[in-house]
Amino acid sequence: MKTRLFSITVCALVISTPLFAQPFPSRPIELIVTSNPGGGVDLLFRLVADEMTKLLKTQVNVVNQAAGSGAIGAEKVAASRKDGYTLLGSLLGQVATMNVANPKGPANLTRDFQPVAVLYGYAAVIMLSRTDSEFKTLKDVVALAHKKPGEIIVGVGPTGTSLTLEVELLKRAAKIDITPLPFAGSAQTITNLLGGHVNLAMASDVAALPHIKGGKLQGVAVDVDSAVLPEVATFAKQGFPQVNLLAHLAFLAPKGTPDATIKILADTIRKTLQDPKLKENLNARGYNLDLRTATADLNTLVKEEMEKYSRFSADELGWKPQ
Amino acid sequence: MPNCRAVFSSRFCERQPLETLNFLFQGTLAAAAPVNLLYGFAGVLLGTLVGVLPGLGPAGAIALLLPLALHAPPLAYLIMLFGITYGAQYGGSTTSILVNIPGEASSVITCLDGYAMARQGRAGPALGIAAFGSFIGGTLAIFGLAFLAPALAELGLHFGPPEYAALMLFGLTALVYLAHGPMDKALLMALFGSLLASVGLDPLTGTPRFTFGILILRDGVGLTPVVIGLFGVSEVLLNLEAKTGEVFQNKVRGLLPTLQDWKDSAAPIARGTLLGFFIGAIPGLNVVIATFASYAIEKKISKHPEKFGTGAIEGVAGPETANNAASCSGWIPLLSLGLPTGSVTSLIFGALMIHGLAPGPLFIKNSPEVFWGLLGSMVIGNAMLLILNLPLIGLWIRVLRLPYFFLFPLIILFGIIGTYTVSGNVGEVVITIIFGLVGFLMKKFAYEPAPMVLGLVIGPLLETAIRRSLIMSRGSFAVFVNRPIAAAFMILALFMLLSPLLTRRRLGQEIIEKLEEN
Repeated sequence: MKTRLFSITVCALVISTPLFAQPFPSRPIELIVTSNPGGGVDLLFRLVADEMTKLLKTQVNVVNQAAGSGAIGAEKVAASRKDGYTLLGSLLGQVATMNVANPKGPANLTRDFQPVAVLYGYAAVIMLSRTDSEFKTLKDVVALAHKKPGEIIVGVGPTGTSLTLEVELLKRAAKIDITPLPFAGSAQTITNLLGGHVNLAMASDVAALPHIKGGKLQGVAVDVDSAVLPEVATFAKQGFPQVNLLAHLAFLAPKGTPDATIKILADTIRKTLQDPKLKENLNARGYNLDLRTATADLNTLVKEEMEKYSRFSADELGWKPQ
Repeated sequence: MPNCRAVFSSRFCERQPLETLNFLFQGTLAAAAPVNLLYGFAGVLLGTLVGVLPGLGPAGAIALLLPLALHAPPLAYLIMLFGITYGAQYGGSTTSILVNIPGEASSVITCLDGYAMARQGRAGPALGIAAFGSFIGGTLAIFGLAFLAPALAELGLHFGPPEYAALMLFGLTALVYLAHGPMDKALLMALFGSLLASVGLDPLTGTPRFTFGILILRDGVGLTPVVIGLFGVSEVLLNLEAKTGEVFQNKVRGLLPTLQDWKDSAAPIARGTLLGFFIGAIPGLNVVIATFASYAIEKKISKHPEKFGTGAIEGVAGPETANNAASCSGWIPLLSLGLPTGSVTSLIFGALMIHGLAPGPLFIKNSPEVFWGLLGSMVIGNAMLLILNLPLIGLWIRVLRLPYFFLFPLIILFGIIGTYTVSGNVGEVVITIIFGLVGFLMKKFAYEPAPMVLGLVIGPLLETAIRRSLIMSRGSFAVFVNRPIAAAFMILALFMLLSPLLTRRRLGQEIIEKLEEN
């Protein structure tokens, strides 16, 4: 009898919770970031989370979960309670990749997530050459690649990153043969370009900036107008609009999170970027601050992102089936 | 950021040797400001702690402290982060020597002779020489950094994939000197190590290798969990079996190195400093390699190589000096070119970015107060660490008197907390435990773990370097011999391999005898 009474009470409590629910947010929020600590993506999420903590008057904790190319973090958020207390901080493309490569996988952008806010093209990917080289514009690259197929070596990132995929897109669009040489990331591609071991390097504009200022490197093309290097023309302007995998930084909530909660979060994120100190800080570092929160906008973005990534095979995306 | 000329008078901006010293002095003064001293002390203390605790490394500690970046004064905060990195090199040797469990991967090699010394009751001198060696290597490397940073950074750029490949082959020859059991077993272990390192996504094509569909294995088998398992957990298992109440029966003799110890260690410390400094300055080589190289060289040129592995103080002094020198010169690519080379430097890069101090080729010129302040703080920090570590020796030795049922569960606990904290990943804990069992079996069947760690560290570097080189050369192996630096290392590697067989003396004799015995 006692146990029954107890279970009834528990049931009643569980059922009634929403009725007496405290206004959102009433406890700390966990922002699971699918990158390692210290990098550009992590940094941006940390800065915004810190500002959100002040505005929401509740702790917004960044938890790094980069394991399994981000799949483990995404899976965790996808399976969490739909109450807005667990969010995913990731590159939109990183999650879209999981869909394309493994549609039935445990984390699926369209099935499991609802975008809260997206920082559109937050940083540009830049193609670099040395200032003492013959590659000033894309035209030079394409011309020489036609003349000497396979001989131009371009330093790219790990398989599946935009540094690598954009070279693949350029190869397809310009029908050229250049040899991508994969490195661990921007710092390594730049190092090898400075040392003359590769002819071109793909990197983030922010990482490239000090070397362009130092006069050793120059920008050949960018995928989106760069806030720090406005003089470098985009791939689109140089005749290759197909090279367009922009890096969108996304705050995602599990699908089914109440609209009111999503709105509170989205409004807060918008407010954080209006803070003059944070805004100045991010601008100085070269981030584009084009924040999108309208539902219609975000849905189009997700659709576009899915289309962009479905141009690649799972193999090219770094999710080769075993 | 203010220009150099705006901060200092113009003649400071084109440096002469005396002015470099003057800068370093000014930086030291800046670092001696109370708030900087406080943060610096917190950093080195934390670093020592992180070093002592197996599992948790400087990268993990810095990652945990990143949120503080937004609220702390910039220079003081950076001084603290730097303090953690070199403090960890001081602390790492402690558990290697006392209980045969490296606190950091860079102290793996210290286990060989450090632990043997401790078993003979000479834990005090081993810890002492590690602290003094660290101090000397660390401090001299700061001067090297001050004078040579830009030049060395340029030199580092000459290392492309073929040069790395040749350098790694050279590094593999160290294997000959690491083994003190049968050579075939050591080779087998090195191969096993490199095979393990190939688990995860293929670094060039992204193809999963040996992952068996397990998501965690996509990221590969990390160095930290393997080392903790192989050395830490297995040591505890062995001790459980031994059923002795105490770790050591031998009486502890002396707390500090004797005059003879100093005589034996002086040259290894000098060589360790040089070797560590130059290896550390090459982007992408980690501190672990510097320690293996130092050990190999000390054993090669020693008059009594047979004593290595049985408590030779040179085997502690050299590597422990080298890891501090390497951890200091490891800043060169970051500070003079803005190129982060590993997880720790990437994190510091992030911390500098938070404060709007993007490091790049103009960093020293544009932010002299930060660069010289950091260098100055390292001078002070190294002195603090020496003062901190010498009195601790007495304390650490007392730890050995703790009954093992108390000490060892603690070690396992800290090891597991450490591996978990860094990645937040239960998979790493599982890997730690599995390698505890593997390490236990290895010790039972007399296979040595050190060659395996060498394979684990060098394997992936060698593989990516060879494959990148061959992509560059479109399949031609000539790329390894027609580039001067690569060719030089190839010749050195050949020399290291052949010299013992040709000369038939010293170590050569020993190896040949061993081979004949088999």
